[in-house]
Amino acid sequence: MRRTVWFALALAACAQQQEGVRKSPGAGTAAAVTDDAGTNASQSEPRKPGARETTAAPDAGAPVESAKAPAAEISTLPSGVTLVALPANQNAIVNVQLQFRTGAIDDPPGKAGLTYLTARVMAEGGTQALSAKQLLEALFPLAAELDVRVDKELTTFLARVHKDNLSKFLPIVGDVVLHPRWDPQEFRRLRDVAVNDIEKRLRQGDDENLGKESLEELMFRQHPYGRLTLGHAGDLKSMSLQDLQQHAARVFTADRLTVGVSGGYPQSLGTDLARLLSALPPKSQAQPEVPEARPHGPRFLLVEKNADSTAISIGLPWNLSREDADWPAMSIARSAFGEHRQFNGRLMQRLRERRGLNYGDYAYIEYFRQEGGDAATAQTGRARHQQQFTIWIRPVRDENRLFAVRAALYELSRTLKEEPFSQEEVEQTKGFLDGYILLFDQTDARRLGYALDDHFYGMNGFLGAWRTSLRDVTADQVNAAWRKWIDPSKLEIVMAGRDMASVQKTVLAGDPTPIQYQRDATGKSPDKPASQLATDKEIEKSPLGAKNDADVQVISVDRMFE
Amino acid sequence: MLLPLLAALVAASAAPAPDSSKAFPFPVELHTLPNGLRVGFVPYDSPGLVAYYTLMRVGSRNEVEKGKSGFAHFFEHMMFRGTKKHSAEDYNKTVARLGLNTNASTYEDMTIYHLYGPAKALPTIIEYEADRFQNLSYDEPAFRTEAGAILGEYIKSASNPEQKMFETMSETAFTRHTYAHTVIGYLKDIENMPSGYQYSLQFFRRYYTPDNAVVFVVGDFDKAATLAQIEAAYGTWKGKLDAVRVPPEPKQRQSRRAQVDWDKPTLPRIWIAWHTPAASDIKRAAVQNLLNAYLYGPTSPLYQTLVLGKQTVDSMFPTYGDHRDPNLFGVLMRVKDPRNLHNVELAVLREIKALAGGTVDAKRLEAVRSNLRYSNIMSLDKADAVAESLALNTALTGDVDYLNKEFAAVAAVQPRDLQDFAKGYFMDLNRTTVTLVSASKKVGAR
Repeated sequence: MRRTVWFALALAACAQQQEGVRKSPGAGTAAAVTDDAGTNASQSEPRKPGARETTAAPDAGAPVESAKAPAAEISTLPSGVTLVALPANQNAIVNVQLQFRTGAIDDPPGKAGLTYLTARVMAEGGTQALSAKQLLEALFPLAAELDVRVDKELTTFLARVHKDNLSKFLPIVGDVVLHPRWDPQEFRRLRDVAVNDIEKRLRQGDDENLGKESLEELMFRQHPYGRLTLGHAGDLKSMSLQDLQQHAARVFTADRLTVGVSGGYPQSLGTDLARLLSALPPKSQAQPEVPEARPHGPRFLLVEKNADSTAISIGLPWNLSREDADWPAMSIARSAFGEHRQFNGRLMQRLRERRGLNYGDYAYIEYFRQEGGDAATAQTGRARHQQQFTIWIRPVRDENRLFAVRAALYELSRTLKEEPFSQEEVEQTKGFLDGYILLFDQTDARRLGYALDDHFYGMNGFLGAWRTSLRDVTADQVNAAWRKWIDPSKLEIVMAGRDMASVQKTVLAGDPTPIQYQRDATGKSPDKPASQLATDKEIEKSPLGAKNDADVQVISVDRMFE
Repeated sequence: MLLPLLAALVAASAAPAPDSSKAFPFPVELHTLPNGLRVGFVPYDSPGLVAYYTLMRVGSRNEVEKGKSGFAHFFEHMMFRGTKKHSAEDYNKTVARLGLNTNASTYEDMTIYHLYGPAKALPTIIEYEADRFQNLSYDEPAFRTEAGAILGEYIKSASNPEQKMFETMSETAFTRHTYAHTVIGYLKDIENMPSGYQYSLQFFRRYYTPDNAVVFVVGDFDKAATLAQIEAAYGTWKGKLDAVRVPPEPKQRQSRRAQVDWDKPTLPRIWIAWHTPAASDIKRAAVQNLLNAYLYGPTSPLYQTLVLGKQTVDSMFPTYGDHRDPNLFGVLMRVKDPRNLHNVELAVLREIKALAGGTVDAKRLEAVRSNLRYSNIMSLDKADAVAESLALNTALTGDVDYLNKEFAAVAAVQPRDLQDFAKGYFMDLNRTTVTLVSASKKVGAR
């Protein structure tokens, strides 16, 4: 039977498991909500549109590999509702995604998490016709999925159902958005869940995400992206049901809505839905602008907490986007440096494979959140106008934590100077991406997700265009783009673990931090080549980049996301 | 390198229409090589893409020797450390150059190696996979280094209280069977892994044999050409499964309890579980899959009372999953206040009693059946997912048609069967309860 991995640790995967914590039991998804981070967007005027191609040109002699990427049809109704429809097919599943241009950037001052909690109460808290309990009872036999994903600029209600059950499901999907129940009891329950998610999970029981979310708040301090999408605990506790209702009327409006449909749906589905949802309040107030985010320091944010190891995230904000002329070259460099959950990147090879420092080490050139627990691909619905470069160092034993930070910085610095990406690495990575990108949109749901992301960016057929654009990129172009965008001196570094005062001291003093290889029962550590041991010596004293006391801040975990 | 085959292999073959009356609607063409290796083909409408899965029927269940918990998983990592012909670096570069998503997973009952990507890579996949399953070769330093990555894998989840809870439930409920430890293993065994080089060679010889493996190819490929290449590449694989006997778990004769004191703030948890039959008892496996949601799913009275109504419970997970040997059926709950742990436990036990002695809600049973059916169909939406489902379900009994048989059993379950099951297995003396509380907010154990 379909395995319900209710708890990821029931299995151990080789290259990686999921980030995040699975919340819903596998069997029978009911109104569940994804717990993630999230933005606004000025009505995203199409900026430099990407290539208009929707199907990648096949290699000479190779089969047509992305035959499944048909063009989306886009139309706008008089109500302001936009419809993005992929051509209907014979598949058994129907996907509906209701995407609003609203997210955490719409949270008012002192109300961090308002958009997230509002969306959750809408998705789970019942409709005027169905109580929360009745909603679960209606969805359960259909195995219909109704989730909501909130990001910084977008909130997407994700609905997926077998076509046998579409007619029963659709009215519910419409009601969730049009006629939420605003049940006080469900409001209290879901607010409790959200507060516990911050206070108990994120601060205490999920160190990898603690590191990532702390870095997000650090990189985007004083910026509309700068507050955790899930919310701040104190802000959530101060919210009332009326706050949610008023907020919903303000942001879940027709002019902010894009309706997406894909899969084996009846021809009229998209227009029917778009018409139905035209009953939303027509206009919102103007969305906040998303200003350019610039790195500002401090260099280190050290989050003090009781933990058995140290979580590390490194990054800087930037505005490299999918439409940028440098995107293809940067995507190759990123993959060669640290492909997510694969073994071919330099970081993975040198930190994990050669040194056994931790479980995995990767790099990203835009915000990334993994889709599900067993996939290596990114979630859609997280399109943003400001982006980021990040390095994720998975938890490291405390005695090696500063060595690991130094090793990542050292390797990054080498890509810019002594050891730029070689012709061979670039060609291998191009080959990798040429095949790998095909896996990104293998279901109708993911194809729809990419079509909606394209709509946000004013692009068309991004995946196919990206794949095609890689073919002519040279190693020189890869290295030139990488040098143009990457400035290691601007990186900000989060470490979450215990005894951060000693880390602060070491960082400020610039003391060496030699690697401690794991020993066996007899005290023997693995034999290593002399060249590697020599490199270890360089890494252990390489600069950490903190200029002064203000550049190394220590904060107690209890003060994060408060 | 096998270029002449390439053109033939990439020729697309039409996928037959799925048989919607079956839970696993895609016909599996099964071949058995003379050495015992089985190969299952499923044409699937994924133009230009193929999923290649190797199921080894070995997992933490086979870690019989003391001090070797976590070894099957460790060994899975070693499978990426190369052969004399293809070094680890060569393997990594080749799968990367071909654009393949490559990984592996270890469970209690199985280890699954998978590649997913362009179909034109298939000849190379077959060559490299056949090579490493027969000729794996790594030195001791590589072995010791990999132990560091395993430790990293353990510590990355160490802040999650459920890792510890899982460990405690396993070792409390099981006294002899190897389900007494988790897949990742005990920290002390992981720390000692660098010493296990010789044992790893023995492990490979015992379990990595063709008669203990099944290869699944799903997607867009030419069956005849692929079979010919697999026969050639794997035909030389020798060896017979030499499994160490897994000690059966004796019948539990008294209820058991354990408490985990957690040293950080967290919500208290309670996990209540009973020993129940293995997947090979297919009728009872069907009943347990239904009971998962019937008792603890979102439409169950327990969920609706404790989570939605009283709101004393933050989340409720049914924890049964099909296993090769008798495992556990149960429920794990996060409780908001430690003072409510006792009442929550009583509510679970009352519900069990009501099922055994009262009536079954036939309408809700139908809803659960419908949910299982549609969840399953909806999960098989890409080649990769189809191959994974095949591997996971075949591992249980060795039967590639297990899923269809189990769903047929689900269809045949009568309300009465749920009651009989409750009477037969949900007795007090067959129960194990594990609680977890923050050390700072400890409540007295009963």
